[in-house]
Amino acid sequence: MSQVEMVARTRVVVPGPPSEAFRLFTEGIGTWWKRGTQFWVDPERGRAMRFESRPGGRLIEVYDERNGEGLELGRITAWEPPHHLALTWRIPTWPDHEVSDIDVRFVVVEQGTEVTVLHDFTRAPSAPTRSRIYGDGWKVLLDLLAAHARA
Amino acid sequence: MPDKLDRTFGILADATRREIVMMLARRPHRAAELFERFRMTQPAVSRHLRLLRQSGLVDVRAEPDDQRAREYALRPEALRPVERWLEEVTTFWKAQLDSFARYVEGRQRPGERPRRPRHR
Repeated sequence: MSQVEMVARTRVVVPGPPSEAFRLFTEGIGTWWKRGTQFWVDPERGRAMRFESRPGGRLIEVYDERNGEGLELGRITAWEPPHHLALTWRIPTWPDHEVSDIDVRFVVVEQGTEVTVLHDFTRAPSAPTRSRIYGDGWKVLLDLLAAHARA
Repeated sequence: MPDKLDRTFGILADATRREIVMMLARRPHRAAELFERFRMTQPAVSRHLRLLRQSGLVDVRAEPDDQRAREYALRPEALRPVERWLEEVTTFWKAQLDSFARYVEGRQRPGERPRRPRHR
């Protein structure tokens, strides 16, 4: 029987050295974070994403552009430029003790910098049922259950 | 008396049952491990497990006399929705990293040929 590792991984190569990629990833997140409604907890109020660029700093979905405050989505657990950034991530509908872990690595490659994002939900078992932000995957499980019930 | 369909959706409305499903998604667990994990009585945990078995999500793989040694596993078809959910998370981050790559390329010095980002 196969098991599922509760981790999603993806990567991209960008031009330039890791130090530049790390800087643009963190300082520029207000610009590059996508605008579609599925990428925001509150798409109507969300103005920008913002990192507090230090260990223990927050990742904020900004609602008030005057003071940069809004919803705390995450806390930086590793601030290690140029190669490593890690943070916890949770959304308000999850139970209080549940967080996911995001790990971002910046590695030199021939074409520039390879940026790898690893998102680990081992500590957030409720996430599939509480995450509109990722779509309706859990609905598939409900459909499975319903089919079993009708059988 | 709630009909069978109502009861089925109720299966996943409970946080403990969702967590059991996630634990079993990683690997099978013995009953003793599940009893230890949750701050509730053994009969309460057993009731959750019974509901999960009735729902078709969970199987008992080994059933020795000692109830605590009974081994619970997620049925393979129940894993696929979890896998599909993780695929959606991957799609989310692929889209974000694609946007990040375009942002980085847009900030390259004029005259420097931008490189195509490579996704894996």
